[in-house]
Amino acid sequence: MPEASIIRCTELRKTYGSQEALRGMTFDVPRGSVFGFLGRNGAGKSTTMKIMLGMVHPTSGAIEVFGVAANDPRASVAIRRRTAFVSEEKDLYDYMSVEQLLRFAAGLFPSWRADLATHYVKSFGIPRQHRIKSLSQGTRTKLALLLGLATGAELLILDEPTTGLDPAAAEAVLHAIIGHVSQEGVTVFLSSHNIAEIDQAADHLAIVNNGQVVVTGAIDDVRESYRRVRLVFDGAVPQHAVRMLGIEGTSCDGRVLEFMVKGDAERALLKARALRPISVDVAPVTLKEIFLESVAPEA
Amino acid sequence: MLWYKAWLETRLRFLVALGLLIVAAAGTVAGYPSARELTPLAQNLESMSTEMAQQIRESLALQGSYRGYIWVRWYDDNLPLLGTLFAIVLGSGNVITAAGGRGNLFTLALPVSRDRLLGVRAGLGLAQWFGVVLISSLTIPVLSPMVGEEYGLVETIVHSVHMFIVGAVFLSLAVLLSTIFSDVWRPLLITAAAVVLWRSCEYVLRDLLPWSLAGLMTGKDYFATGSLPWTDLSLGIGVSGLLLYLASRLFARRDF
Repeated sequence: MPEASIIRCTELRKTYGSQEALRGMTFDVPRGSVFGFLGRNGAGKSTTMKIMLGMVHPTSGAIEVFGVAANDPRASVAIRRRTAFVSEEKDLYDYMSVEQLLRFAAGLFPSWRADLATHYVKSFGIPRQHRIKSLSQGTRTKLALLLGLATGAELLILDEPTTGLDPAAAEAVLHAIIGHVSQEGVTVFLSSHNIAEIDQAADHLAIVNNGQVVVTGAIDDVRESYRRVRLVFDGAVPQHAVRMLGIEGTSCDGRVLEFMVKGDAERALLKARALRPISVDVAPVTLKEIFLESVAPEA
Repeated sequence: MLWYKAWLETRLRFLVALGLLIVAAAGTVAGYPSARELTPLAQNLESMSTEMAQQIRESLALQGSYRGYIWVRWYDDNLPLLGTLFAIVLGSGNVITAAGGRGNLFTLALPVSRDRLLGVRAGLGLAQWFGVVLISSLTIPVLSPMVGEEYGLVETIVHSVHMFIVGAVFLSLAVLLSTIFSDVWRPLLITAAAVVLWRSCEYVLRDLLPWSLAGLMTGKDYFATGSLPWTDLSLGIGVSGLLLYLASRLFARRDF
């Protein structure tokens, strides 16, 4: 594994009976990055994270975290010693008080940061003596995040961290994550189906669809590699235009033909100009457009 | 800290089991004066030759002494009946988080192995089971002076160990089933059904079987002869250990 990667996932597969949850998932997470793991519900995000943490056994393929195999039970404990996980459900022990849960976690994580716990209890406004069962969804989410941040972990795995939060609370949670990353230099693996959240917080990403990674890289590079091309003709779009371009995902609307190109845009433009349109516009695309293009059902 | 968590999750069932068995043990002691009055009735059954009459005669004869009364009423009747149920209850329930399964993923993400999670859960269950049996049985020597009698401490401990070892087999079976099912009810009901089936078979085949789980549970040999059935007790420990080992293998392979 390259020194710069903290997670390396190679051809990871998982089947439940006849259903394939992962179909050869492959990606690298650079150390010190905020890595967005973007996909629709059921794309295989949670299964991948559970395999990283030793909760699910892969059918084949490999995933290494901190350079060790995550599906080895002993190595898995060592990985979890250096990793914090915040699940989508934020399922904590309802019967404990906040204080009890903090003491419990402090006793299990060797790098527990009492200073960070105290800081986040105060800044998140979490009542120490309250039972977890009585906390609101927002406070419960903040507590789950606090537990992750205070473990002193080098890797934070966050599964839909802002689910169920109002916009203000979601913003506060994202700010806390970004602030923590800049101060502590940890790596964050941020799984979400919320594109805006990934766009705001992440610097690298993988887009997942049907158990496979369809796009991965630094977000800026990914954005740079896509362009939207808009051709306007003086009459109706020529019938042979789509066939001649040989590009999937084109859309025609009267005199306008639009399509997205990835990688070498010049080649596509040469073909497009050969159709003699009256204008050719090339524009950058948003992460949302890239995501929708990547996860669109095949024709 | 895992022990603390497991204790918080299971303390209610432990305290209920302990409380009920202490009350049952106290009731057993308190019932002795009434039972003593029944002993002469054994003479009325001498003319009857049915199997049931024979059993009643033997039981009443045993209850002629306080030691015999305690064995018949407590170690041969109340404790096996209630104790078996509580052993199963103490072993049943989600192995990761016994309190309704909330916190499963949080627990699995902790830096502890699955063997340790299971070990703490089973270890605490066994410790609670031993506590329930021993403390409730100790009620008898403590309260015996109230009815003008004495009951030996060593005898209490030896009978408790018998009950603990057999109950540990049921508890371990419940733990094994709890690694397969996430709810409390299926391990509880399946183990209870297995115990009822076992006891029924043992009763029907009592003349053919060289070994009796019920007899071991009640410490029958020790009561009758004063000697300990070391082989049977070791076998009980071995079966319990085997069931827990199987539980750990199943738990290690499971996806969550």
